[in-house]
Amino acid sequence: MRLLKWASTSVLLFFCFSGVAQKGPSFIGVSGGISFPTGNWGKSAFISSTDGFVNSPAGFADKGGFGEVNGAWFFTRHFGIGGLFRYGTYKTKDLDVLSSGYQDSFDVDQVATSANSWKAWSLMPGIYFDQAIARKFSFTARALAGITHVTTPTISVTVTDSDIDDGTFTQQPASKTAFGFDGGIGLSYLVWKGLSVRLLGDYFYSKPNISIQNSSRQNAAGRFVDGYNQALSGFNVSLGVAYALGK
Amino acid sequence: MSGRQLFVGAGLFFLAMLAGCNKKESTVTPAPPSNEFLTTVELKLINTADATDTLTAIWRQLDPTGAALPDTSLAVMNLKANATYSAQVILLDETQKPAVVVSDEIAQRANYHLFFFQPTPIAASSLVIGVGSTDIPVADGTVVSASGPYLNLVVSRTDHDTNNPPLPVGLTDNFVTGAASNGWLRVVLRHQPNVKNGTYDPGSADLDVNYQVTIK
Repeated sequence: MRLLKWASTSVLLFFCFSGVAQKGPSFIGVSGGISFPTGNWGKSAFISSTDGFVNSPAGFADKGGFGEVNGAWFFTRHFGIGGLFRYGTYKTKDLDVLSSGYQDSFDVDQVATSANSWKAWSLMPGIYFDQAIARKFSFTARALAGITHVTTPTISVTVTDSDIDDGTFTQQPASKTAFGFDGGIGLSYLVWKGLSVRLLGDYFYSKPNISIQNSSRQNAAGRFVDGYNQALSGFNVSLGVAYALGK
Repeated sequence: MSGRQLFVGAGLFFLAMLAGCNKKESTVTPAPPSNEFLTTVELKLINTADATDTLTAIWRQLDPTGAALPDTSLAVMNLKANATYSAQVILLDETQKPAVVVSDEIAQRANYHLFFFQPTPIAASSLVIGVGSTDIPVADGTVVSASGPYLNLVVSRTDHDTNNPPLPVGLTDNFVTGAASNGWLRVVLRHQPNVKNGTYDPGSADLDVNYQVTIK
């Protein structure tokens, strides 16, 4: 055990101080990719209730796309400080399941549901790590913490029975900013004249407790979300380019 | 082309990708198959002053297509004058064996169902339209009479749903009779999904039946 502690401390100190005199590859980059929501946020469910409201944790968030700007200044060969700004959207998935729940709840002939996307942006500073593993290849990692701002989708439901339009009720969009963190690893490949291609995988997490307004909900039946207090987490896979500063 | 120019180009490409990422999705459900019918409407009445004075009036239509005429031979109420009856509405689907008690389902779905009871003949001055009233608007078929004689029957609902604030339902009711008279009682069940507000107009009719009433 003592040996393990000694070894790990030595490795850390090696990376921290071995390159103090020689700084690592400071950069600025842009990237984009696909985001995969996890947990209840990424789940959908058939939700029906005939004699009262029911609030489900299912977030109906589909995989989304995102873009980010990030950069870091390396104060040693391996470690740097930096940050990212990321903006992403996640479509609302399985609207047919959502509609079927309302159809069963209100016992009606037809339900038309429309929804836009979850939206999220993050601003996170943190620590960057870089280790060359071949002449043009580097292993990279980052651990970031900051704020995540989330906006819930607008969901509109129109109920029709016996060819009579019984109106539209709407779950209004709501926003909240909360603490969030992100950790990722990846590979960087130097393509040409300080320009490198970066492939990254990240895990992100935030848990904003969002209050949501609803309009035109007259009768207590069916899914009714007046708050969402679930973890908004998932995995990102991104591909981007980075430009080495000071080259 | 320099690395810096390539980098700026890539940045613009990602911005363009983001700009096109917020499309609105929509869907429309298909109509579900009908699996229950309202074939039978029973009104069970008990005189609150005389438990032996009970009656059951039955309106029956066993043809789900509605092509055949309903059986109204038992859709008759003989009530005592100046009495109060507690009433219960029972809805059945007798196309199934055993018959399905649809009113149990209506009770579960009370938050968007509402019964209306319209005695006729009625004077225009006695017709009350609005929240809490069991009367049916003239525009929906109630014929007011200028001269009478009128059916001396007043119906009030006694049960409520779980909406906030609670609204009446009409599965249980009070029938209060006056002086001897004759006429009809029209019973309508309104299905008002997310539009129930205590009035008649929103929604559509799940049933619309008539009973012959004699008060003596």
